[in-house]
Amino acid sequence: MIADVPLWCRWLHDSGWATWIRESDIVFPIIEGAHILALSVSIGLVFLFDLRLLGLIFRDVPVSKVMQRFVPWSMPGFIVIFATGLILFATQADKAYSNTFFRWKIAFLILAGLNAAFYQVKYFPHMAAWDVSNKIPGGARGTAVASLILWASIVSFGRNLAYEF
Amino acid sequence: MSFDRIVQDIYTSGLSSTIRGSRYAVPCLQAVHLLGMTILLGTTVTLDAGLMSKTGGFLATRSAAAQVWRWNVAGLITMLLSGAMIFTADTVRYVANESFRTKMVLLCLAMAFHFSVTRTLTASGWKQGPWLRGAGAGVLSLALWFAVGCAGRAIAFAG
Repeated sequence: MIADVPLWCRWLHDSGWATWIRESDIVFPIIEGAHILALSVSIGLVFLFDLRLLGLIFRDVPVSKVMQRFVPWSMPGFIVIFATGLILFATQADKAYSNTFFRWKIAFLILAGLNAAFYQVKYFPHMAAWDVSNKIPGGARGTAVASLILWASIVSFGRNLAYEF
Repeated sequence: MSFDRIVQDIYTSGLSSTIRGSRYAVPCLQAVHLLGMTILLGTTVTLDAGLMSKTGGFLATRSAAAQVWRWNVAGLITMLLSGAMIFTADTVRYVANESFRTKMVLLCLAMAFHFSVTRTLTASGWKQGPWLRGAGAGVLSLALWFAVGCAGRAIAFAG
């Protein structure tokens, strides 16, 4: 299996800083802890936003207001998730590269990104038209369902990839 | 009946060996546990952000606050049930794990704070009060729940 791992993954895995983090009894758990706590907050808020689009929470608060209040909390969280995620990948690049759950996780992350981009391009510019009237377009509700499924899967794949290490 | 005996009896029960014997049960339960945590922490941040703000945020109305609490409790119940089942599968090892014991103490503290201070300040919507009181409660609530999460993560690393 190791023979299939590309050189850049080996280079990352064997670099001095990645080795130092991997072998540290304190730094590695802190980075992983920060990754999980940040994802709980940010993805938790994404779930709540999706539930709002589906009319299951905050029905009396306009969608734009929900978004406006969540972004200051979710954005820093996503930055922490991606930064710590990249570091965690580097420290275990050889194992992660050939891990089935990791590959599914990355594929679903790309899909979640595309889904969010689709919402931003297609529905966000016209939000004012349906925001207050609460008549949320079917397509926007569809992106919420897709987002719930994709992010729940990403969390599950992320938790399960450790079992293959 | 001693505590050790109870732990041992749970370990040798049918439910425990069924969960332990299944290849998929614990990984699935762990994923559910983490998803419950996203709902719990997402809504807890919403409550704490409201407490820290000067206008109450989502807690400005009684009905919005009630909706946040409904999902918050749903997330907590999901975590507690899945956590109890994960514990059932390997009671002896968890009880011997210092990080697990620390997590349980922190969880009790976080829940006590959550259902007393946070609940009292937010259940019927946000009310104008000393800003420092709300902000202090919000920061302490986040710190307690984050500490529970950190101790939970440490179970896998430390003894």
